[in-house]
Amino acid sequence: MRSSILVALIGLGSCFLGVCIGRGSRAELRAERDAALAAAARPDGEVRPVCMATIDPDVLRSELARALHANGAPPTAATEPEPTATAAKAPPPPPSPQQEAALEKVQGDVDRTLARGTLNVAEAEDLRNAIHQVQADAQFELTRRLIVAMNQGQLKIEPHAFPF
Amino acid sequence: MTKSKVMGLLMGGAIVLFTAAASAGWKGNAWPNASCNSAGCWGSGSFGTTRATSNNSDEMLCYQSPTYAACTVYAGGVTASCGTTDPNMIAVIRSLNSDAYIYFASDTTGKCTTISTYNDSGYVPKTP
Repeated sequence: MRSSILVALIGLGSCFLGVCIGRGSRAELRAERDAALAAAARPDGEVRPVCMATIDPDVLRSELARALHANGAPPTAATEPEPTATAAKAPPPPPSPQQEAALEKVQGDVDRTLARGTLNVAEAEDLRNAIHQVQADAQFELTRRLIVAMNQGQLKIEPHAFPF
Repeated sequence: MTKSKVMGLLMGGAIVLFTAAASAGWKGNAWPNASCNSAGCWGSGSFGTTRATSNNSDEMLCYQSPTYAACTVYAGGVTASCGTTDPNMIAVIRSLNSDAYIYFASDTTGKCTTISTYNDSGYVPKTP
């Protein structure tokens, strides 16, 4: 009776250890995965893209067509630009006078923020609201200027004071 | 206490331990990270783990509009951010759920060069 109980305990202990080891290996895999992601932008000066989602389908299509053509394949309809793609790249409508005035104001706000070099929560909220009043392409350009300054440490933001 | 009772308690304890270990999935943390160098910045972390930090300042967020998106991680006083007008990257950001893990990198112009995300059962959900 005593020996069978001991065997049972040893068996259960082995199973428990096996589960623990499995969990450890899984955690190590996650750590390796995160490290691989972090290594994409190591401080050795090179930021390496690890995502293929940025390939422009039009560029890919034209490159494929060029490669096929170089190998003697006849051009296909797929090499023609799609009307929807052309329409999507149409320039945006010109800004309204209100949008122009809003843009002028928010550009001044951003200039003053960058000159000041700091951003608190209230200022960030005002800046967000002002940026959202202008056209989309201008919104992105203004946000990008702030991002560059934040990334380079020229614009110190307080906690929770994000300008977007 | 008799020997048989001691053995019974030991067996019971072992079974409880085994059951608990076998029924629990992997759980991990993805603390927020932000770093910059001369080539750009990168940020990573999961929303749930970032919210669970104890310093009341670390934060990560992603903003999206129909035409552009931006992500930022504030960790330990360092900010890493990037913005993009790339529809594919905007789609990735739009797909984020509230407990997702995100990794992004930017170039020196503030534009995103990489955005990837994980929906992982192991990362802790946001708690109050």
